[in-house]
This record gives sequence, C-alpha cells and structure tokens, in this order.
Amino acid sequence: MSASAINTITAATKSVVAEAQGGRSNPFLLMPITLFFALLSVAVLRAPSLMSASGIGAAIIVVTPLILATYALMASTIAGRGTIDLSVGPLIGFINVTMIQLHAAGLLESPIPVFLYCMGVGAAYQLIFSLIVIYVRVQPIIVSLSGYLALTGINLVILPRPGGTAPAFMEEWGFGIEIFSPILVILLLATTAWLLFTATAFYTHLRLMGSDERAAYTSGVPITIVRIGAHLISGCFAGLASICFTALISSGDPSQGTTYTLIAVTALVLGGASLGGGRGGVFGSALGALNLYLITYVLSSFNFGSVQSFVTNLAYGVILVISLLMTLLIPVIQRYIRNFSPLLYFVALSVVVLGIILHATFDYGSLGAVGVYVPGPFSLQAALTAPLETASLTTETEALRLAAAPLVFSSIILIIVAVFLRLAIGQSSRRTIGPAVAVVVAALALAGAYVIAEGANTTQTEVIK
Amino acid sequence: MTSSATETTQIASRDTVVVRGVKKYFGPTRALDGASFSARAGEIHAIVGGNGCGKSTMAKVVSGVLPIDSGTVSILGETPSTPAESRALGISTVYQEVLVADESSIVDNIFMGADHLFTKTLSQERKVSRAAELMEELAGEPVDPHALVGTLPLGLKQWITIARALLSEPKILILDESSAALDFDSTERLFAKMRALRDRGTTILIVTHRIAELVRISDRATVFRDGRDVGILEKADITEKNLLALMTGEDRSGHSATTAPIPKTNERALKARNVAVWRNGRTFDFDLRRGEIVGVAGLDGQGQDAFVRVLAGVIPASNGAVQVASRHGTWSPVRNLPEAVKGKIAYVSGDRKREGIFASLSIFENMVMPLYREKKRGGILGFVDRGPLGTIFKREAENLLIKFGAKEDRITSLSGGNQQKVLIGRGFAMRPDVIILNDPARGIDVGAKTELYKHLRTFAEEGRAVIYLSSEIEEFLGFATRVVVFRDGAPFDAFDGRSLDPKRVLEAMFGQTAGHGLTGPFGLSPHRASGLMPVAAAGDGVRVTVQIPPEIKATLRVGDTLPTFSATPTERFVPLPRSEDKIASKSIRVVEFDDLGAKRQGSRK
Amino acid sequence: MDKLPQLSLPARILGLVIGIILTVIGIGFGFAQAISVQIIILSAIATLVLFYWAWRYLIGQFIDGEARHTDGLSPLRQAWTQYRWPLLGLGLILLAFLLLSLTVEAFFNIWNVISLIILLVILVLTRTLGRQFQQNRSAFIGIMVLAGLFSVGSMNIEGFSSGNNIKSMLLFASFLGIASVGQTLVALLGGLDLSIPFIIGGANVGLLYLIGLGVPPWLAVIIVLTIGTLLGVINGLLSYRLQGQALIVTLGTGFAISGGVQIITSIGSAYSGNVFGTVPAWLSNFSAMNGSTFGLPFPPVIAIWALIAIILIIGLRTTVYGRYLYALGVNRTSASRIMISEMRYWVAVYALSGFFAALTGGLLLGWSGGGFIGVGDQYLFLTLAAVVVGGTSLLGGAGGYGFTVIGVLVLQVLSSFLVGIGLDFKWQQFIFGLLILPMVALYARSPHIRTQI
Repeated sequence: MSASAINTITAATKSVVAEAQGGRSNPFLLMPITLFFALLSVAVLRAPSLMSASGIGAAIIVVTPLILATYALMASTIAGRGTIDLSVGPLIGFINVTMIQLHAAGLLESPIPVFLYCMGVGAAYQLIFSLIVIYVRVQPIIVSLSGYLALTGINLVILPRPGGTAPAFMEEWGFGIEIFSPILVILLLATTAWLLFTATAFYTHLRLMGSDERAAYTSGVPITIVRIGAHLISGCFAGLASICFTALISSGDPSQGTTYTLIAVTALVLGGASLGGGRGGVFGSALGALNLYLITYVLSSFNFGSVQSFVTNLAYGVILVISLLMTLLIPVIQRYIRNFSPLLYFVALSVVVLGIILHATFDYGSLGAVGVYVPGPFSLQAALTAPLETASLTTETEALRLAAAPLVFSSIILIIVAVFLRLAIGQSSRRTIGPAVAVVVAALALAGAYVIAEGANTTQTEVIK
Repeated sequence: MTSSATETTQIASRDTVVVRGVKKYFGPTRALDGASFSARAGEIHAIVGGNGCGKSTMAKVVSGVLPIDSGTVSILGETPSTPAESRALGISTVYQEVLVADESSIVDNIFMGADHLFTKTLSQERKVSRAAELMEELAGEPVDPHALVGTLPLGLKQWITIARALLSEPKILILDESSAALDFDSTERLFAKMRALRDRGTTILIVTHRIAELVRISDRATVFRDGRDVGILEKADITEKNLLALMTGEDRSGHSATTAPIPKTNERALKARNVAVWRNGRTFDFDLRRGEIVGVAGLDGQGQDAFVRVLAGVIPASNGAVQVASRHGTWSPVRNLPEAVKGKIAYVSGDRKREGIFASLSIFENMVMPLYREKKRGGILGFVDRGPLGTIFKREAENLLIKFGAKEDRITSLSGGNQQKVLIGRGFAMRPDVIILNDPARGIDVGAKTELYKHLRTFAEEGRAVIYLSSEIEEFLGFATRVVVFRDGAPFDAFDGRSLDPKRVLEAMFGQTAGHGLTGPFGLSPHRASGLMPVAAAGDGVRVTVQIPPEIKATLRVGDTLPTFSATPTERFVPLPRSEDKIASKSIRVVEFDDLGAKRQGSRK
Repeated sequence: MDKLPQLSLPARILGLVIGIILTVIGIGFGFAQAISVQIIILSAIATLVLFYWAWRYLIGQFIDGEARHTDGLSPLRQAWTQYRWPLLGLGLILLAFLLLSLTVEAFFNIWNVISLIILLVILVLTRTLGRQFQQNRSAFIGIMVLAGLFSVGSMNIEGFSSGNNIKSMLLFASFLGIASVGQTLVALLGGLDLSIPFIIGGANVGLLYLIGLGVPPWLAVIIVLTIGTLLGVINGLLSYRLQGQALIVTLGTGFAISGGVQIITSIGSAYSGNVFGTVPAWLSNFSAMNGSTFGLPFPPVIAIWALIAIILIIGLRTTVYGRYLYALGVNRTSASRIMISEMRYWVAVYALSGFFAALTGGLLLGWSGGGFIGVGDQYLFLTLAAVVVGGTSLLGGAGGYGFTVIGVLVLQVLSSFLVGIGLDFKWQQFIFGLLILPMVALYARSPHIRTQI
C-alpha cells in the first residue's frame, strides 16, 4: 500500500512539475497575431485594393519606417532599466534633416555614404545615450526625455520648415507601385539581421541583462558592453528608419519624424514586448507596427469626411488601451494553453485570412460554369476566362452559387483551421514542429504571391476593358 | 580578541583565499573594519556573525562585486575586481537574493555568463541536456529546461542559481545564505553536494547565521563581529555555545535560560472554527488563550504561513470563520484586515523589505503610520497630530531598545535588526490584544532576538496573546507556551512548550509523529478536548507511512497555480492552488491517478 | 575667519591662479570697453579678493575632516586628483566663454563677465553647500539656479526684471504649474500621466463648444471640470489594473480623448477641429495679462496657482492623505498591510490630475480667446520636465509639489531668459533638453549596480 502510494506520488510529482511550468513560448504574441488577422480581414473586405501590387507596395513604403522605428525602440527596450527611448522619433527626424541639408550642400550623393552617414549618426547618438546611462547613471527615461526635447528643438533649427530634396537615388523608392522595392529589401535585411543576431550569445546576454541586470552582472555578463551594443543596434535601426522615412516623403521634415515616437511606442506595446525589458522581438514589433498601419487603413476605408484624423486618433487610443487590457488575460490563457506555438497559430490564422482575401478579391459575379467551387489557382484561372459564359447562367443559379460559395469556402477553412489548431496546441510540446510548418508556410507564401499577381492582372484587365 | 588571533594560525600552503585587514566603508557605516581570514582548498569554511557584522560584505568582496577601501584580498594569487574576473578565476558565488532572469528559460539562466561575448561555449543542444541533467541532480526532480523561469516556484529558482554556480566545477564556491529559500530536504541535498565538492578540493565558503546548519556542515568557521574577525573555530570547536559566545562577545546561549509563559486563565482571545487555509483543505479549530505564546512551525509551504495570515486577516480563510474577543468578552469576526485591526490584532511580517518598511520615509513615520488615521485633527482635512504620536514613538522605541540617531532619519539608515524592531514597534504601537508575528527573527542577530523574546513574554504576561511563526525550531525553546506544527495545510501535531524537544518537532514536521498532541491539553484548543476535529487519527495509516518525497516539497512552495494531486486513490486530495494573497476563485485543475497509475484529469469547483 | 578649515597649499595656489585669470579677463574687457582706468583697477582688485575669499570659504566645505594622505605626490598633482572633475568643468566653462568672446561680436562686456562669475559661483555653491542638504538637495540646487538665472537675466536683458515681465512669467508659470499638479501627484505614486496635454486640449475646445451651444459659461466650466475628473478616474482605474504601464495607458486614453472631443465638436460643423465662439469676459480676466484680482493688478490665475501650491504643499506634508500617498509610492505591499487602499489613492490622484488638466485647459481658453485642440501639446513633456527638474522621483515616494513649483519657475525663467537673448521656441526646447540631464545628474543618480546586490 505504502509503496504504491509513494510511486503514485512520484508519478504525480512529475506531472505536477510539468504542469507547474508555464509555456515555453511567448503567449504575448497571441494578441498581436489575432489583431493582425482580424484587421487584415476587415481591411481586405472593406477595400480589396489593398491586395494588389500597388496596394501592398504602398503599404510597405508607409509601414517600413514605422517598423524600423519600432525595431530601434525594441533593441534598447530589451536592455532593461525601463529604457523606453522617447527620442527615437526626433532622432529619425534629426537624421532626416541633417541628411537633406548635407545633400543640399552637395555632400551625400550616392547610396553608400548616405547609408553610412545615417546609421553612423544613429549609432553615435545612441552611443552617447548609453554612455550617459552607464556612467552618469541617470534613469534612461530621463535621458530619452532630454534627447527628445533637445533633438526636437535642434531639428527645427537645422530645417525650419519642410522642404529640400532627397538624394536622387531615393527618388523612385517612395512611389510604392510595386512590391519588390528597395525599401522592402531594407526591411527584410534589417529583419534578417536581427534574426541572425538572435542566434548569437550576445543576444542571450542582452535578454538576460534586460530581464535581471543584477543577475547578469553577478554571473559575469559584461553588462556595460552589452548595453552599449544594444544601443548601437538601436541607432543603426533608427538610421535605416530615417532612410526609409526620407524615401517616403522625398524631402526633409523637421517635425514629422517626431510623431514616430508615440506611434513606435504604441506599436511596441501592441507587439507584446515588455517595457520592463528582456522580452521583445522583430516578429511582434513588426506585427505591432503593421497593426497600427492597418487600423489607419481600415478607418480610411470608411469615409468620415472631415473628422477622419480624429476617428483615427480615437481608434488608436482605444485599441491601445484594449490591447493592454487583454494582456491581463494572458495568465488565464496561459493556464489553459500550456504550450502555445505562435508560429502555428500564425499559420492557422493566415490560412483563414488567405481564404478571406480570396473571397474578397475574387470576383464572384464572373464565376463561370465550373461545377463545384474549388479554391485555388484552378478556379482563378476559370474566373479569368469565365465572363464569356456568365450569360448562360440563369439569375437563380447565379444567386444560389453566390450564396453557396462562401459557405463551401468557410467550411473548408474551418476544417483546415481545426486541423491546425489541433496541431498547434497538441504537438507543439515537441522540440521541433517539423518540416510540415515550413512546407505550409512556403505554400502559403507562393499562393499569396500568386493571388496578388493575379489580382494585379485582374485590375489591369479591368482597366483595359 | 582581535585580528591578531588569525595571524597566529598557521597559513597552510593550500590556502586559496587569503584576506588581510580589509576595510570597506559605506559612507559613515563601517561594514568591514580590518577583517581578515583565510580558507584552504578542500574545506567548507563558514563565515558567521550577527546582523551587520559584515559577513555578506565579505562574501561580495571575495567575489569581486565590491571594491575594497584598503587591505589585501588574494584569491588563488589574484585580486578580482569584477564578477566577470572572479568567474574567470574559478570563483562561483550564490548570492543571498535569488538572482534569476524571469523572462528567460532555465537553460539560459543556468548558462548565464558562461558564453563569450559573441560565441557560445557549448551548442544549444549540449546546454539543454547539461542543464536538464544538473537540475535533476540538484532539485531531485526532472525539470523542463526550456520552461520560463518566471513561472517556477522560488525553491527551483534558488536551485537554478546554485546550478549556475556549480556549472563550471568552481575552485572556490561562495554560498551567501543560499539555503534560505530551500526546505529541509533540499538543504540536505545541497549539503551532500557541498561535501562531494569539498572532497574534490574545492574551497567552499558559506555565509550564514543559521547556527544549527553550520554546526553540521562546516569544517572551520571564522566568526565576525562589527566588521572584524573575532575568532576561528576548528571543526571540533564548532558548537552552538562557542559560536554564540564569539558572536555576541559574551558567554550566553541566547535562550533556554527562561521559561515559557503560562496563561493564568482559560479565557480565549481568538478562536477559529472549521477553518481551512487552503481551498478544499482540511478544516480545523484553533483557540488562543489570553497570556500565551503559540509557536507555529512547519516545513516551507505547508500552510503555516497562510494560517497566521488568515488569523491576522491579511488573506481570507477558505472555509470557516475566525473570531476575536474584545476586552468585554464579545466576539467579532475577522474576515479582512480592517476587522482584524478593529479586533486589536496586529500583524508583523518578517519580510520587511517587501511588506514592511517604507524605505525613503523616516523612522518615526515607519513606526506610527498606521495610527495616523486615529490621531488626526481637523476632521475631513485629516491633519496628522504629531504630539501624541511622538509619545507613542518614544515609548515603543525605548521598550524595544531601538538604536537610532534622529527620528527624522530615514529607516534605511538603520541596520536590518533595528528596522525589524521598528516594525515590531509598529505592531505594538497599535496597542493590540493579539500580536501575530510571521518569522520576525529572519535576519536578526541573537542579541536582538533575546530582547524581542523578553518583550513578547512581558506582553503575554499582561494578559495578551502572541502567535509566533518561525522557521527555526530552536526559537521556541523556553519561549512558546505551545507549538503547533503544520503539514498539508492543517495542524499535524502540537507540543507543550515547557518540555519542548526540537527533535520531536522536526519529526512532526516530516509527518513522523502520531499527532496525539493535538487532542492533548496543549493542542489546538487547550482544555477543550471534546470539541476537537480529529485531524490526524493515529490509525490513519496513509499519513504515517507515506514519506513525502523531496520533489513534492519543492513544488509545495509559493507557486501560483499548482494543480492538485492525491496521495491515495481515494477522493481525498490536498489542493494548494493559491497565489501569495489572493485565492483564485476559478475552478482548479485536478490531476488524479487511478490504481494503475494512469492519469485522470478533471476540473473541480 | 578662524573657523575656516585650513586649505592645503595647492588648493590655495589654485584658487589664486583662477582668481588672477578671472581678474585678467575682467581687465581685458574693461579696456576693451574703454572704461576709466581707476574703475578697472578697483574692480580688478575687488574681483580678485572676493573670488579668493569665496574660494577659501567654499572649497573648505569639501574638506570633511578626513585624514589627508600626504604621500609623496606633488602638491599640484594632489590638487588635481582631488578636484579633478570640478576643475575640468571650470576649465570647460572658461574655454567656452573665451571661444564665445572670440567668435561672437559684442560678447565682450562687463555684464557677461559678471554673468560668468555668477554662473561659476552658483556651480561652486551647488557643489559645496549642496552636500549639506541630504534630503532637499534638488530644491536647493533649483533655487540656486533660479536666483542665478534671474540675476543674470536682469543684468543682461532690458526689462527682464520689470513688473510686467515678472507678471507674464508668473502667468505662464501658473499654467504650467497647474498642469503639473497632476503629474507631480501621479509621479509620487510611481505612475505617469501623459493624457494631461490631451485633456487640456479637449477641455479648451470643449469649453468653448459648450459656451457656443448656449450653455451658461459657469455651467460649462463645471461640466468640463467634471468630465476631466471622470476621465481621470478612468485613467486611474486602467493604470491601476495595468500596473507599470501607466505611461502607455494614459497615452492611449489621451489619444482617444482628443479624438473623441474633436469628433463631438466637429459634428454639424464645417470647420473640422476648430471651434469658434466668444469667451466670457470674466474668464478672459482670469488669465489675461491685464486681468485683475479684487482690484489688484495681476490676473487671478496667479493667485489660484499660489493657493493650490500652498494647499498641496501643506496637504502633502501634514495630512494623513499626503503621508499615505508617499507610503504607497514607496512600498505598496507595506501600505496595503496598514490598510491603505491602493486603488482609492490611485484613482483619486488620477482624478485630480484630470481635474487640474481640465482646469488648465479652461484657463488657457481665457488666455487665448479661441479653442485649439493642440494648445496643450507642449505640456506633454514640459510637465514631466518640471517634475523632474524640480526633483520628484518618477519612481514614486520622493519629492513633492514644492519641488515642482521650483521646477516650473526654473523652466519659466529660463525660457523668458532665452527669449530675452533672442532665442525662439526651438532653441528653448533644445536648451531645456540639455538642461534636464545635468539637473537630474546632480541629485538623482541611480546607485551603482555593485551596491544593489
């Protein structure tokens, strides 16, 4: 009796230990992912033109400076001590106006000096910042406040009003008519650079220091170097953000950059990073920034007339507060979903949203006499050739089809989602999720690219018609 | 005795740590004032002393955290000036505070600082398996090395810091009060590990004021007092008596010279009926008579802490009711803090940093702040009336022999022991009938403890009552009227304080006694044997035979959403899903096991 | 003089050298300005003597009776190691002065030299006497800076110390001061309120809108103040629930408030965001430069601010509520053990913040005469700057409104001074930014990590 009891207890203990530990992955990504797809669906349903080459191109141009600004903020925020770099916006503005003025003075013509200059200035500023934090030992928030005021002022001194021209090579970057622009390359390179960086020991040091600086110090982590490094990275991101910002406006603007501070902080929080340090990543930050863009986009699809910007403000504020309140639910979610895999969740939702995108960009009216509706390239091909045959359909059948198609569609999606959710929650405790995810992601990317390409074609065809 | 005592001891060629005449000042405070000691390879060397004697400062000096003002420090022939340098030398330190990064995984925490600046010393897979291995060996249970540290109980976090120190086979290991967050069994495991390391030639420095522990483990001990070393004891001389004599500077053994107070009446000051401190925990009754001191003990996380908090109204009881008697004999309920204060119950926490002091406020305010509400003038304007408060402050400060400069000084200018006295004074200032102390002696030196006991005894003899939780059984000797031992969220056994045998109390803490004491005259309800709940009948069978394995105890700590499990295949189970203060009102997950050991899960309201 | 601590020889030599340098500079400028020789000689002697006396007296404060190490170092080297940073700072300032003199024309005048000396004296005083103040060092430094700025300003700028200028400085200080009430209280609790500028803007526009609708002005003011308070309550509840995220929560509510107010005021209006209407005369009198308080020639808003300041300073120091606010800011768990309701204070403080922000918005309407949503924008960081420069810790539990008053005055006098010497808003902002850092570094440096373990 007693022996068995002990055995049971030991067995119980093991399960207790497994249960007592929270999830390994970051449940804080749950919110941004959900919000992203919700907004994306609404955006696509409201204004399908988002899913065209020019729509996505424009989105990338607008959102990239914001994403990079958020990265810049993130890099120093991870370092802990409550480093919320309020001066990131003015810094972007500062690099912008000095670059424009130097360009006007005949310097900084070709890309390489421009890039070196921007990232150099950003890094230099952040170096000073970090040295003050480390050696003068003033709270980082105060240093950043100081930097905010000083840079905002000096920006106006350097360039009193918007104007000037960006270096010539940047001229075309800001058009945003195609997806694969240099801006996208910058964004992808920056993201990849960060992801590569996360593989180094330096990143581990950074995260540990941000989470508990004293623990890191006593364990022998070179905290001074790590903090300086974090700020240098932040400065480089700020420089890149400034380049993209310059490309976006094609000129200099002393005050526009300043607004990036508040937006980037909001994006960072929306992305699930901890303002206390130690937690944050490019995935969440990019999602946060994208969410903000999508909010603006969705709202602009409603016509509020003269109060448009006020509604945007209101929505920003409300969504920010709500998403903060949602973080209160994280522990509850954590209790029910122990091993949450953000990647699988992302994949599952993207299937759903891809469906919605298909639904939104798909021209049902032109649906041909194809027997059963099959989602995918085939039906799209049919869709392109279909208009000739529509006439043969009676209005009743057409109405029936129109009604049935979304149903069939959504049921297929539901099945896929169910499968993926099952996978996401059930199997994510395995070390690797396996190549399945990679295949699915690749397939989705291809499908997405295809849809977009077709979408672009469709619009062109329409134009021709 | 001065440092000349150390000069005379022969300096062996194997000396690894040699510290000579080290001085370290913090402003006007002299933390170390010419301290010296030396430790050899292959020995466990204890650094002992009362509060503020500089032993922790010495540990930080040796590990390179604090720079010294003068003197010499030579560790393996070098003088490290940062933790990174000392780590490179082969010095590993486990600090008093549990220093872990909550947002990171166990692996990252264990390998913190082990990597170079950009490259890793081990591949991630190797790290994971090494971490898993090390944690299983130390904590005695398998732990998922990918788990986020923030979700773990404190005991496991402490093990992570120890694992980090042991990772690289240190030449010198410094443990600064490192067993503080560990329970008895874990401490034993730590000691075994320490002995193994010593036999392989590691120098181990332990810094502690837990005399009982260091008597068992250390090979040599250097005693510190007032920032200098006052003597070295060899293994044979390390006894409680010798240590105390050196620590306090006079020949006294702290306690046991006095007798416990015996209540003159059977009048009750406080009663608890059918209370359970945990959700679905066993219920029990408890009575507190006027004029007695009740000691409360138990292994960490067995419900004793929750029990005293329930009595003080800090947290609500899961079941049942607590009532307090007024001077006129009328009973009023205690469900929350305001009711407890109205019923003249005062609560003193031992965790002064977290739930005690107001760091940047004055000593005066720290003591009398709760009285502001009573002693105010101007009605709704609420001006603080300093006159009467000053009198109260003076009275308590004198009673407790608090040493302070001006009462307007910040409380942080006081030593830890004096800060604790201010908090105890805060409790007394409210003129309570019942005072509940939750491990108040944590981090107080022996002298201050003796004063505190004396004061509490007088308090009880005036016809008031004391409940005193302690993590050191020795504290109850000659002090407590009776001692109640907790186990699994309910009283398990009780003892007569006048004939207290620490060994028996320890056995009770591990469930090795019959629990007869509960029904006796020194049980939960003295002289009221008929009204008892038979909590632990002798023939229960299960309880007597089951030894709680150490793994469980580690999980029985403060963790927030611990699921429950059953020791036997019956319906009975011991739930402990509670966070620090709030008990979640949600349904809890129950993991049960059928006869074959398969897991059944369900949820229960 | 016998009470003076004995200075070491190097220190004395150093003092003499610096004094002589200063005197020479003075003589140079004297000749440059073609002042009569007698006056130059007299003032040179006076400068030298005064400086040397001050040097002996003040440097003496550095010596706190510690045993002097007189090992083989040369006296000059000793002086260098002892006063390395102050000396470097002095050198830098002198260098900057020389550079300015050489580059900027008409910088050579006796007033600037005196200003420089005042600046140096202030610096030395803060370095030396400031050590005597353990608790209220920031207040001392603030007052020193204030005094210095004011004297330098009144010497260099015509009309700086005129009644009108002081009145206008006080007027603007009142707006900033009233807006900073909430920020101070919230900071004492360890929070931040970034919604203040948005509530100011909202109240400013909303008040005029209500008056435009035909609501009696007094009622409109009450409505606006009530709504401000209610918004504060919401802020308080949210920030309390989302501990440690106050910065971002209030930013969010701020966005929402300013958007919401503008939507409401724009409905049915052709001018998006701009509200037109007539401000009642009594409200204009409240905050206009030519307003009068019971016949006295200053606007009532200054009196209101003074009253608020007195009530708050006394209240925070001597009432139960004030003391409990500090207790909560220092250690909330300890506070909850002595039955201080955290939520109640949190909500109350944010409600006050909302109230005072709405009040500022209303008063600014009286000043400007037209509604403008962006009227509060500059207060976003200025309130924070005032709190920080004054010396209230953003972590909670240390500081007070008295400190903020000093911070507000320093910022205001500085800004007037900068305007006076011809620098506009952007330069002011730049200099504010650079000023905050050394101010905070003087009194609120975080402890080194070594001491925190």
